[in-house]
Amino acid sequence: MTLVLAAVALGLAAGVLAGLFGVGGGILFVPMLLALGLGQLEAEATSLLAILPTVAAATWRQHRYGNVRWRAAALLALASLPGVALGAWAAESLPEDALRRLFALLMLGVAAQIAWRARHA
Amino acid sequence: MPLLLLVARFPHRPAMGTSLAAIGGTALAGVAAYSFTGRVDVLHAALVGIPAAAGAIAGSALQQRLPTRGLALGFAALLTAVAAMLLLG
Repeated sequence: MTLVLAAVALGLAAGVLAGLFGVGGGILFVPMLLALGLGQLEAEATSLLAILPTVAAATWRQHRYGNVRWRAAALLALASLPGVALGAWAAESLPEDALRRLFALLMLGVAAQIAWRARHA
Repeated sequence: MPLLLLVARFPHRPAMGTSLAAIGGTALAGVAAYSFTGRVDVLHAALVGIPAAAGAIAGSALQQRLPTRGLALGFAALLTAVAAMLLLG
């Protein structure tokens, strides 16, 4: 039961951060899921599903403001498909600790991006 | 975003909204791809993801009221600390 509460609390926190900064909240999902006992690739794959409610809610809101050009969005998403397939294949091929370290580097990149934006805002 | 802003010459807000929708499509594709190898844990995704959506709504409302600069730097520090743990652990 405490694990369920931990998951919910962590998810809520990640969401608030995502809402505040517009970027980077979802990246916390992976370490959270690791802490909850998932393997690296399971955590990464699960985080892709976990981000969908947030993205759907935010997209709907932007749509209501008239900010979504759906055709362009569909084209972009379709264009990303080969990359998604290639990335998933690469991730499946890597040893777990290598994947974990690569992900840690990505986190550092996101941290740098957030810090950069904050200092130059 | 840069693609929409620089190449397609979108104004800023439509670029943000459109790229958000595109990201949703990309994430969905990722879920589909990983479903084949059984990597997606739907229960954990719901446990973490649904509260996150609620949190994101609260977070974007708070954005106007909180001094985000200090928080942003704090968040960057948190990400760095977690990354360090993953690298060294």
